[in-house]
Amino acid sequence: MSAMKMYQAPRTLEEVMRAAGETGATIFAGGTDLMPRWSKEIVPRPAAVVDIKAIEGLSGIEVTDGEICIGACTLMSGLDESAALRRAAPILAEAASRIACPQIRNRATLGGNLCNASPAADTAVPLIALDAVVDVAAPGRAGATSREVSITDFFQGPGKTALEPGEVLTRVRFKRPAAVATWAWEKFGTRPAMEIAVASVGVIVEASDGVIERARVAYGSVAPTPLRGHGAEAALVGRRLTDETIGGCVAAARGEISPISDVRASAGYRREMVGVMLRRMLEDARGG
Amino acid sequence: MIKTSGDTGTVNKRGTDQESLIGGRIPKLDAPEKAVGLTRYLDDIKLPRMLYGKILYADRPHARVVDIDTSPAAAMYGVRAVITAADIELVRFGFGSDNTALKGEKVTCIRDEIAAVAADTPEIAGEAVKRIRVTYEDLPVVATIEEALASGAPVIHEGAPNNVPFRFDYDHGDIDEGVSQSDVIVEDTFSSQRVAHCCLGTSGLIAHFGPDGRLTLHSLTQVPFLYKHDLSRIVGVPPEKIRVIQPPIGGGFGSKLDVHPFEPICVFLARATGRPVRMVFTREEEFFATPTRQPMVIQLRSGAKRDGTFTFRDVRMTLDNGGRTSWGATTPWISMRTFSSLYRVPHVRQHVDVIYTNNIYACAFRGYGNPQATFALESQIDKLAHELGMDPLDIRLKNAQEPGETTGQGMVLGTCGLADCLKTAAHNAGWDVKHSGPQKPVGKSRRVRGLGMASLFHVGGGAKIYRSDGCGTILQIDDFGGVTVQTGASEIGQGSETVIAQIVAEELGLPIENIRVVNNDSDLKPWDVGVHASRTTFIAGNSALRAARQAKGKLLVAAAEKLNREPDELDLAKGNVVDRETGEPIESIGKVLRGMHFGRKNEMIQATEFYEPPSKMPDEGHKGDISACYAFGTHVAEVEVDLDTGVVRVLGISAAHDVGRVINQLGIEGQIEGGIAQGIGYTLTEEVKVEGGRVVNPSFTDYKLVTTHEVPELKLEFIETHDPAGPHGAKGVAEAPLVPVAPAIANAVYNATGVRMTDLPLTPERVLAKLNESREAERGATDG
Repeated sequence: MSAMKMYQAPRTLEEVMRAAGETGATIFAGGTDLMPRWSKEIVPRPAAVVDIKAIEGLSGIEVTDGEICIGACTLMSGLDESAALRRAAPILAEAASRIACPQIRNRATLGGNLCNASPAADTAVPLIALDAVVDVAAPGRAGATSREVSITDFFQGPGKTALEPGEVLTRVRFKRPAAVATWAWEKFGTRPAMEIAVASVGVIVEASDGVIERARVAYGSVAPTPLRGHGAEAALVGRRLTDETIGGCVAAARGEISPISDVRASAGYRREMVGVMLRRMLEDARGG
Repeated sequence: MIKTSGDTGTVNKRGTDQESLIGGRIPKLDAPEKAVGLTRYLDDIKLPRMLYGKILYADRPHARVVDIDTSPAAAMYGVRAVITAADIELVRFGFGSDNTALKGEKVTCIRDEIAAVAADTPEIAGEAVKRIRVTYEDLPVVATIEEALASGAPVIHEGAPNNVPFRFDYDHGDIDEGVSQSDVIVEDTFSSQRVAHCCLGTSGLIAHFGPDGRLTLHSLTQVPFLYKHDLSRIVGVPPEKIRVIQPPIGGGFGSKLDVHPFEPICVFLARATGRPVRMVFTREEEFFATPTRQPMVIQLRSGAKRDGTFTFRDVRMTLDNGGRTSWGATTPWISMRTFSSLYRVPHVRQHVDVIYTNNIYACAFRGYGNPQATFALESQIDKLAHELGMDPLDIRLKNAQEPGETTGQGMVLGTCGLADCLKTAAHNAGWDVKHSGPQKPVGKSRRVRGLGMASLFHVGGGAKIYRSDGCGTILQIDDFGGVTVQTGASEIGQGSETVIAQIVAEELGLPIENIRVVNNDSDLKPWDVGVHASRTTFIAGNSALRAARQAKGKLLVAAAEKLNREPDELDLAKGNVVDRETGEPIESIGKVLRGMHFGRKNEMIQATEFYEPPSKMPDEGHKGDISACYAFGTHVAEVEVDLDTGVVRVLGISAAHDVGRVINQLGIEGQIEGGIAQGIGYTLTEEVKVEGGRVVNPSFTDYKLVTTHEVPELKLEFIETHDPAGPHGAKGVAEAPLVPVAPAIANAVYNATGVRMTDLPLTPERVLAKLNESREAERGATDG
């Protein structure tokens, strides 16, 4: 029978890693993705779960001049409501505010959103655009050790991450974007709320005298993982935001994504929407 | 004639200062209990020794059942019964007599019920059904209407070797004459999708045999008396030994008009175990194992004279019936009434084919075939107007009926507020100013706006589909002015309980708090045909009104005797017997009642009424005055279309409905607002997607209901035509507001973009494809 045998809520990371490593317990935070999957039997109910919400230091947002550091158990509503994050990295706060509904945002965590590794994960796209890294706690012989994984390496495929058995994602970190950077993030769906992205796009550009010096572009729901848009970035850097540049960037974006057709949209429509969103973002960034 | 929102000032017929309850804003009587979470729904009811039932579905669209091995399930701890078709007497039921509770030989859709388990817990029951091993021999799947009609198509039911179990034909006038009178003729094919009712409460039942062999059902049915009768035959219990108790029902919308297979299954499990058995659907089951609205393809050809006078309509309609047949196969009967009688039209012909496929099957849903018909018809009327260079409002006004007309289908329009609905809805939407198109985007924006309108025609005074369309009332007054009204009408969330209490309180001059409505137990309540056809306020309201009038008559006679006055000099108001002329209170009603009861005569007031509306069953050609009155309405939608993404946003809807008379302003606003929200979902986002017979989006994640964000500001107006047949002049309104939403929005999309959408829902992808098509055609024209 598919009943859960064991639920633990330890106080230390070591205990979590032991449970996850030895008994193969599923790591559990907000549960907003796991629980519906269990009840709909999309994945079998695990024999054991280990809840990490009681562990100290896994929650909270730290904003300094140089870096922003967010605990894995920070709630989506926490990201949305943090004035410091709104100032420092509004692209992430905005994406968090558009996830599902208030009830879910009060329960769902940043770490959970990433560890589920959905190609549609709403926070993944801004974090790619922000060049984020995640801190992973790994069980070592002399207690826990920590390793750093770049956000793009973290996602390995639909539902697959770089985490080894027993490892726990503890923090997400990224450099504070330059004050001059302009950003945009948008997700496209058939309704404005309670929506899984049909496609999403995030952009951060820094320009000097109208010439783009640095660009980050990321996409969601159009590849097996959330994707960084190297081609679109290259089409922007060193150029002014002319119609030609924008057209080139959109063409590059359409070329580097690999959407599928499913119950939510066709591949062709997803490709089209990435182009529309990106074009509108760049036109807005140019102003006028 | 027009009553605006919030205006409750009706002239008091008694000439007293008491404000009439009729037309007031009366909160639903069951609202406080629901708001604080005290309502006990089916899922909250636990009977002693109760077991939990679970069904095993075929999960394949078309197959022969070779073998069923239930032994692994039966061997489980906590499993009390496992049943298959072999364990029960298979009685055929459903409108096409093509369904049985369990299926033992052949599966015709994925939701076909193969076996069922009763166990100590829902979890054990759930695990047990998974352990049942069934061997199938798959048959070729008929996934579409085209596949069903192809030559050599697999036969789904032997009774219908061509896969066409039903055909319906209707006509009045002469199409050829209509064609010859026409200056313009247009022809289109419209299609509409499968949508789900999405009731807040999922389906369920508790079945329980008493030691005397009586069967008690806690059932969510909308039609308790027909249900009792139908179920009786299927489970072999005489109807007089069946009691139907209806716990508070979390929405019906037509989904509970049929006996569904899970209901006899639950009864068979109760019989097999000798214990009460409860079955409540999961949301996923609700999506794939309950019927949907009929997907329809409608080929429509219609014409008009140069001045806009309609000449004819020629309709061919095909329904994807799915693998079994419910009452939903008869929805074309209602679609006919729209094609024949929405606006004046002398020549109409309609042919309908109901087609078997291996898809999940369809049933009744708010509007009963009318939303599909109105989408086609009102879209095409817009096109006719465009072809003739007429304003869409003018062409409709030109053809709108007047009160007193009889339609081609034999329906007598005693009252008819259609022209007022058209003018009012258009006026409130700013039609004269805003309706011009196609429009250019403003500035840099890639979004364009437009306005579209559509009207509706529906039964407003019941529908005589059965030999009786009546409803009974038993009314009794206690010694203190407390009234118990036993009504046949069922409450499914629509607010009938409150309306009935209002009508009785108004008649007896008592506060509404004094009225208790008993409406949920077939052992107590008199007969009623059920909640359907927007009939409850009209039929049950008339029944309650007549019973209350009887009671009032008795009270006034007793009071007159006591007070040495004539009954017609007296009236009832504010809990008192009053002077009819002056409104002066003379004696409290309670005192009069006690005087009757404990005085010389030892009398109490009890009144009974069985109201049967003056409507007629249709003849074999589907003609006849099926309803005691008819409802009309017009919606004008304003939309914004994103030319790059195809997203249609509804900015506002202005609705005007001929409701006869408003009984409960708050209730009727709720009905209309809810109907419009449901209509917006039907138009833009909702679809039960079925591929190869399988439902691919059985959850709210991918079945897109609209949220509050997508319901715009609504402007509602009620056109009060005071129908002489209705209680206080009221007509039915429940289904009406959903009906014209889709064509109003589609016509607005046309007005905004010049693109005519003929397939529902108007998904962004579909709209964008049409926009691109028309842009390419334009480019082609320019290049050429």
